[in-house]
Amino acid sequence: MQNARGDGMVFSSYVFLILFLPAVLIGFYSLRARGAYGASVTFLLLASFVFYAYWSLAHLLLLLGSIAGNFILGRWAATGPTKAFRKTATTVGVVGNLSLIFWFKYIDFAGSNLAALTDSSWTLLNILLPLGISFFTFQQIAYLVDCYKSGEYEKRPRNYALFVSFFPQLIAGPIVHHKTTRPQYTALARGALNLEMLPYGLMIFAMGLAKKTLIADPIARSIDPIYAAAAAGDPISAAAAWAAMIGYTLQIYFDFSGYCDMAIGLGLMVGVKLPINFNSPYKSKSIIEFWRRWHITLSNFLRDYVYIPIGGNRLGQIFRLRNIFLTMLIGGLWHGAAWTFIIWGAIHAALITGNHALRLWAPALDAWDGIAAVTLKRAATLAFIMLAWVFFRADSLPAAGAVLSGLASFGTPDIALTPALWILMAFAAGLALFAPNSLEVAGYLKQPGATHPPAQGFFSRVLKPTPLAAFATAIMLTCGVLVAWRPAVFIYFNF
Amino acid sequence: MKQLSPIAFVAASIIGLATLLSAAVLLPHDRYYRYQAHNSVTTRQADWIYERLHFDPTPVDVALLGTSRMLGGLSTWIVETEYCKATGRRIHVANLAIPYTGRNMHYVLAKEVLAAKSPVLVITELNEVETRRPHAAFIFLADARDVLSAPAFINLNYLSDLLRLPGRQAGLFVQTLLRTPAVRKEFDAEAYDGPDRDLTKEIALIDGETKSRDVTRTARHMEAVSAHREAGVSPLHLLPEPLHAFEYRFARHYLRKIENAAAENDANYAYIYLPAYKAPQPTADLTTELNITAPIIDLGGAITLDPAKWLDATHVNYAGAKLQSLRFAKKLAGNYPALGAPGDCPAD
Repeated sequence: MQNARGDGMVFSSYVFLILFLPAVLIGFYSLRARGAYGASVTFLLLASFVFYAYWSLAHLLLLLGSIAGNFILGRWAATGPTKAFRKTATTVGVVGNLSLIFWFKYIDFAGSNLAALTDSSWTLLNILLPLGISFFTFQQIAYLVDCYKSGEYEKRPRNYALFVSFFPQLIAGPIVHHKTTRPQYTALARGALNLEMLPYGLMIFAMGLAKKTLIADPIARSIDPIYAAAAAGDPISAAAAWAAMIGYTLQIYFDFSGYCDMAIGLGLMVGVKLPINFNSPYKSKSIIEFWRRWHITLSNFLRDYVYIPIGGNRLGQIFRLRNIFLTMLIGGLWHGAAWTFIIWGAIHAALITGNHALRLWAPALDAWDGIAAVTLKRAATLAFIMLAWVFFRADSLPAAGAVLSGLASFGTPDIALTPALWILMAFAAGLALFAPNSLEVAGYLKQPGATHPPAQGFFSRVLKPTPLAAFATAIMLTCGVLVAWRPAVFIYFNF
Repeated sequence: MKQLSPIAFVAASIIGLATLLSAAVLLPHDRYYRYQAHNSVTTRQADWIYERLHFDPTPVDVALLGTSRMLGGLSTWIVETEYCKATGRRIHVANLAIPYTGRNMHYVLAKEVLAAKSPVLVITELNEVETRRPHAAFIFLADARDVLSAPAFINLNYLSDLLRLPGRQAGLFVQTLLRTPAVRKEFDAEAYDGPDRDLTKEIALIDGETKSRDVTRTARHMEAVSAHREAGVSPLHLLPEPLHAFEYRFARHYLRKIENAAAENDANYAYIYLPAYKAPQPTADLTTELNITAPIIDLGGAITLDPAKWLDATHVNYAGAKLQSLRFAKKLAGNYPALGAPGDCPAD
């Protein structure tokens, strides 16, 4: 499987920071200053197409086709003449979207494994994976199902196209629900825009950029050689293995939370509030809680469009646990066409199923509270998560095995691990485990389990648009721009 | 503290960003570390160039500036030996070629060698076609002032190089501060490849692999790769006639700068034509476009028709490099017989 990566317009690249983003903001606000509110929304749509086309013009055509097809099917699913027609339209849409994702993402994986099973051969197709396909197809599957259930659909092609392709969320989420964006785009086109959101957008974006470029990328540069050595079959020393496991745990945290912050910040800059996708997941006391804090919109999608349709809790506790397991397994496979992702998904599926079983059959353990209990639960949860990340990151199962077996080895480190790496990881761990997260600081996340920001403004008590905050924002942006002279791709862009 | 209006906040952040980025350009660094940071090509040529010019006391009489055609196509040891045989004079030639085209890179290295070694003769590579593009690695090696003062017009990399400069400066500043360069903290005489590093027989790639150039291609293979190359060659002018004056403006700008720098340092200046397989000589139209008035040492001719001398369509193999080096030495001795000083010739 190949991916269009490297030369594209990642949020931390110069072409995005210096050319695309300023051009979008100038164009958007210029149109609004002239009262062309509808045109400003259309402008956002065109900018999103340009953003996607910069990665691949051919894939933009695919995206446009997907948007057009799902828009029509959504209308039929909602208002078709008969229930059978509506159901057929929905089924065609869901199957079509799944076929698309299967073709681009899983065909080689499925074909080569099937060939291995049947002792035949499979010639790899090496299809270039369209960026964000997992996200925009899932969003549209949810849309079709909702159209069928509610009988409502988006009447304006522009709003629908923007719901799918809005550039801050197009490539790596959050997976946006149609109900959250529809009123926002409609309001934007009518003139409503709270300009107070602009500085908060810039501040949150700057925090995300700093997370990505100052923490995630430097850690990645240090630990990538360890995973490469593991993939090459070299033995991994204990120090290197621990650095690889802890490092990747922190890298993916700051990479993904940085990306989510940047997406939310970008949305706010043009008056759109995107859902919360990331909420200090390493503070979780259980795996169940972890999945309510990590990639929240994916968890919600899997719950609403996989877990419930396959039965949910409707057939008793045993079937409920089975459905939870299957849902998480699908979640693992969603991340990539490789056995490492399936194993990662299976580990999480087993853990979350076990967690639910414990709640069911050992409620006292679940209710056990106090500092010692919380500390123990957090530590245990984090330990399982860290071990599972090794499978997620490793190039193959043997490579994951090499890193995991290295954790208990006594070999001499053959890969230089600088003190700066350990200091950076300690700092990053402190932020992830003990500090309030950026959305809490900005007031975007008010309630502990919230999945959306407050509807009416979100004026933070801590972070206000003062000259000092502007200076801090400038420093974070500067750091991001300085490091961006050699940009790195976001991990979740690969899915 | 007083809150700013949304527009004032954004303006203050942008002004702060611009100020901090400008300040980053002024950050100092170790220039040896800068040359080590250049890893965008297949060889670690820039490290060696810096070591040759700044740590090796061997003088440079003849400085060669060019692309990969020159890098693996001329053996300085053969040139020095044959020149000495012909004239009785010992010279030191430095092959400062770096893969890929772009005249701004040649200027960077010309400036460096003129300042460090005061060569008597500077020779720049000339091909049958001229690139309109700047060198992709200019941002890695150029002094900050050269990046800032590069011509903005008809320079496809100007904006990109300008934007990357603060990041480069800050990165090198941190590397210098923490003493964490890409390869080595200090010059290591043991690791240094010596003044006559020869890449004509084999070339060490940046990933540690060694690639042999001592291979012979069949005539059929050479015909195929040559046809492929020919198909990709653009005409002399891609722009419409009213814009012809701008098409090679970038190359002219830097070639004049090299000539001027050589003149200011009392160095002679010449070009060397390094051909491609079955490629025609540089046309008068091209040399006119580039405003070339300095002498051209022509290494074209029969070699361009001999498939046994080529590695691929544009690079000679080991046999071709030996022949090319011999011919260059003879022409150098004929045109510049008084280089270097009388002395013992290098041992065969």
